[in-house]
Amino acid sequence: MYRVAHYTRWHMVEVGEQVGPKLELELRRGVVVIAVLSQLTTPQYGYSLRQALAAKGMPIEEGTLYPLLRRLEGQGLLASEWRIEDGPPRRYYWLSHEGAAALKRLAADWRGLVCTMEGLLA
Amino acid sequence: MDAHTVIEAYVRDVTARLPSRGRADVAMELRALLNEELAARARDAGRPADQAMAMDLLAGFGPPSQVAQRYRPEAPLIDPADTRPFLVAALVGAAVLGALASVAQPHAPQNSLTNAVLAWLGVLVVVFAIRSWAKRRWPALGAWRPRDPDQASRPGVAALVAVMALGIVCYGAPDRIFAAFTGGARLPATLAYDPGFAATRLPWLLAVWGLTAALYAWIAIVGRWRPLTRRVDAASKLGVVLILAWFLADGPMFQAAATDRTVKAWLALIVIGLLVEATIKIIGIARAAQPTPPNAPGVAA
Repeated sequence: MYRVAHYTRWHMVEVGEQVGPKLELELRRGVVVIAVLSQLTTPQYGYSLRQALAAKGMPIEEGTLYPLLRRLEGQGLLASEWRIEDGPPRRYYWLSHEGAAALKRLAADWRGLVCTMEGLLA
Repeated sequence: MDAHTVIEAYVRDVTARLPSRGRADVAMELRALLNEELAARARDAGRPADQAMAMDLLAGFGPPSQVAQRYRPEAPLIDPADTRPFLVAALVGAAVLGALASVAQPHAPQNSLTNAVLAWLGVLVVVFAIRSWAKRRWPALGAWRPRDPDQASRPGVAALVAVMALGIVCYGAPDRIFAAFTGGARLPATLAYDPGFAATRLPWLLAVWGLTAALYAWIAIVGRWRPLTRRVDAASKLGVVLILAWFLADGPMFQAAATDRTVKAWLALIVIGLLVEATIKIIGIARAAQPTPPNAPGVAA
C-alpha cells in the first residue's frame, strides 16, 4: 500500500508540473478568436492588432495571430485588403457582416460562460 | 547573412508548404509583418537588427512547417484516434510475415520479408487513410454504436460450423473426398497419411473439432455466448493446441518425408497462432471474472 501511495503522490506532482502550462494554453486558446474579433470592429493590420491586444492584457504570439487572421478570413468572418497609409503596404482586416454576427453570438456565450464559471468557482 | 535575408528564407520555407494559390499574398503579408516585428525589436534594443535578433524572433514564431500548418490546417492522413489500431495491425502483420518467412526460408527470394513488411505497411497506410477520410466526409460512419460482446452473429457462426464440418470430412477421409471430386482418382501418395498417425492421433483432433462444431452449432441456435460456453470454447482451443503439438512431437504425419516436413513447419505456425488466441481468450475470461479496478481500496500493490 505504501508503494502505491508514494507512486501516486510523486506521479501527481510530476503530472501537475507538466500539464499546468498546457492547461493555461488550452484555456487561452479558446478565447483568442473572441479577443481578435472584438478588436476588429475597426480595420487593423496584424502588427497593430497584436499591439492593441497586448496593451489590453491579451498578448498573443505572432505565430498564432497572423495565421489566425487568414483562417478567419477564409471562414468569412473577416474581410481584408492591402492599404498603403503611413508606411509600407499592409493588409488590413475588419469584421465582415458574418463576423459581426458571430462576435455577437460568441460574446453572449462568453458572458454566460463567465457567469456559470463564477458560480462554479465561488 | 543579414537579418532580412534570414526573414526572406523563413518566408520562403513557410510559403513553400502552402498551396500555390494565394501563396504570394501570404508571403507578402508575412514578410511585411516579420519586418515590422523586427524593426520594433531593433528599436527596443537601440541597435540595428542583426541575424541573431531575426533568429530569436523566428524562434518565437515557430518552425516553418508548424506556421504553414496554422495558415492552412491539414487533416492528418491517419486519424490520431486510429494510432493504436494502426500500430497493432502493423506489428501483428509484421510478426505474422516474419513467422511465414521463417517457414519459407529455403525457398523465399532475398529481401522478400522486407518487401512484404513494407507492402503491408503501405496497404495499412492506404486503408487507414481512406477510413479517416471517410469518417471526415461522412461523420455518421464514425458514430459509436452499442455492441453486445456476448451477442453472436447467427449466420456467421453457422457458416463457421459448416466450414468446420467440411474440414472434419476433408481431414478425416481425404482419399474419399479426392475421389469424389476427381471421378474416382486415387489420392497422390505424397498426400497419404502415415498409417499410425491416421489410426491413433488424427481421431483425437477430429473428435475435438467435432465437439467444437457442436458447441458452435449450439451458439448459432441460441445466438449468445455465456461464461460457460466461452470457457468450453477456450478449453477446446487449448485442446487443439495440445493435440497439434503432439502431432509435431510424435512421429510422422505423412508417408512422404517432404510433405511431412512442410506440413509440420506450417503446423508449428498454426500452433503458435492458436496458442496466442487461446491465451488472449483465457486472459479475457479472467479479466471478466475480476472487474475490480487495480487501485481500488484493499487491492495490494
